[in-house]
Amino acid sequence: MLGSSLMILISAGCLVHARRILLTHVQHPLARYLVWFTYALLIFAVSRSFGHILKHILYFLDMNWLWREISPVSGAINSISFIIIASVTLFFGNIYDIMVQMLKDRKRIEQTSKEILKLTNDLENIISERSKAEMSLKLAHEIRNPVMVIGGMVRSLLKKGDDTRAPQFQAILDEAQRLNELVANFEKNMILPQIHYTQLELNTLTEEAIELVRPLAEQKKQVILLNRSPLNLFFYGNRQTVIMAIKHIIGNAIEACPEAATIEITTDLTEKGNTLIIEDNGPGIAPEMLEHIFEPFYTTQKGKTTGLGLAYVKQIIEDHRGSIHISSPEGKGTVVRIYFPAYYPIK
Amino acid sequence: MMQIHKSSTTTILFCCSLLCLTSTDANAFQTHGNPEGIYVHQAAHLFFAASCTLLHRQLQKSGFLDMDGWHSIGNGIFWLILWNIWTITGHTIEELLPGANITTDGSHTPIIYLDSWVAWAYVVFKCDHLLCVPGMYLIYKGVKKIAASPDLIPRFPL
Repeated sequence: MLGSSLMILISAGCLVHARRILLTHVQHPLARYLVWFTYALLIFAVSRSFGHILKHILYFLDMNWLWREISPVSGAINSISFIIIASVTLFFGNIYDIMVQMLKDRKRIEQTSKEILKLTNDLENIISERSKAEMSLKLAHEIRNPVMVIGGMVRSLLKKGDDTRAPQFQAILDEAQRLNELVANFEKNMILPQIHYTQLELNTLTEEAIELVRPLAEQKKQVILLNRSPLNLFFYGNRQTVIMAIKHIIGNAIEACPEAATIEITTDLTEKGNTLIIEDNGPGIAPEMLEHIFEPFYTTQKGKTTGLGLAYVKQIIEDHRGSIHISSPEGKGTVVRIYFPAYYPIK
Repeated sequence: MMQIHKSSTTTILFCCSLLCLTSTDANAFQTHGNPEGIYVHQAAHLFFAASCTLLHRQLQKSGFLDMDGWHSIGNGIFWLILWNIWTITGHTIEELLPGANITTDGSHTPIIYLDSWVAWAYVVFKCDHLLCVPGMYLIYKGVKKIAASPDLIPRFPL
């Protein structure tokens, strides 16, 4: 009697604490599992102990015959309770698998978020540097015009032969020339700054970009084939922006292709430099669209995209002194060829 | 068209079944005789023991048993495995015990005649609560500890 009562009390205690855990860890699969497990324990304890207690009471009341009637029912319930608790116990493996999957997804999301954050920062920097450079060049241009005017006027005054002020005019002309040279040097050196440029390897970047879009391809049951060049395809550039550009092109291919399509990606070293070819067997691009594909704000999906994607991709590739070409033979999918100038580090 | 074809096949099969199974040999449901109950119960005990063993292994493999509260739950589960083995043995001995050994003899509680080792073993194995109560208590201790320290529910697998 004591053992049976203790079983019920302790299992009820387990359930109370498991519910407390669930309150502090709402929606946590493990907390929920503990509640199920303790419910199963309670069912097991009640089914086991209830029979024992009832048996003792009926024997005490001299109603042995009634126990003989109830006993098979109590035993059957007891057996069922074992099946219930065993089934719940087996479910732990599934809970653990769910947790492992959640961890993987979480890590992937964290990684993607980090990449996006870094990419955003890099883009902001590039845009800011580009704006500064463009403003500086504009300013230089604005300075040069009046300097040229001053120089021209002083030169014509000198030609008129006003000897008394000739040394002063000559000094003004010299200074104007110096200012002009300064502006010319400034413009010459003011090529668009290559910030955050490091030595990159095209195969690695392509693989990273593929990993970023793989979930999208998996959703559409598409296959991404990578024909990786055995050579190291080094070039000089900004890692994040190049990954973004490659990812954008592959993402477009995934979006354009139907389910179960194959997207073939090839990296190679050709006479044009480090080459990346992205081929798909999708519906292709109409020739009238192909003409405008790199134009800013040109989009085939009105309202869904800004139409800046490919314009940015082209800008990024050209910033790396590379080039991008898209061809789409009718009904034969689309082929995107990207070239980056090969760079070989001096050891 | 397909639907009509399917339903006509089902009707033919049903009619054939009716012809084959007359009322004299209707075996639509199986009869469950007397020893089946104990077989089911023993099988349920085995299933319970096997699933507890698996849970204990999974807790150990995933590193949960190194954590405070979970360690206690693991111990409790181990005691429940022992309890299942103990009770399976108890039920087997009960089957070996002749019915004449247990009688109520006008008393409130049944009396057992301890005239053989089987009878003695039966009495010993009847004390199964000596295993399941500590097992349950250890699980209680573990769950209570986890409830008191939220860190014991890991955010990620260990």
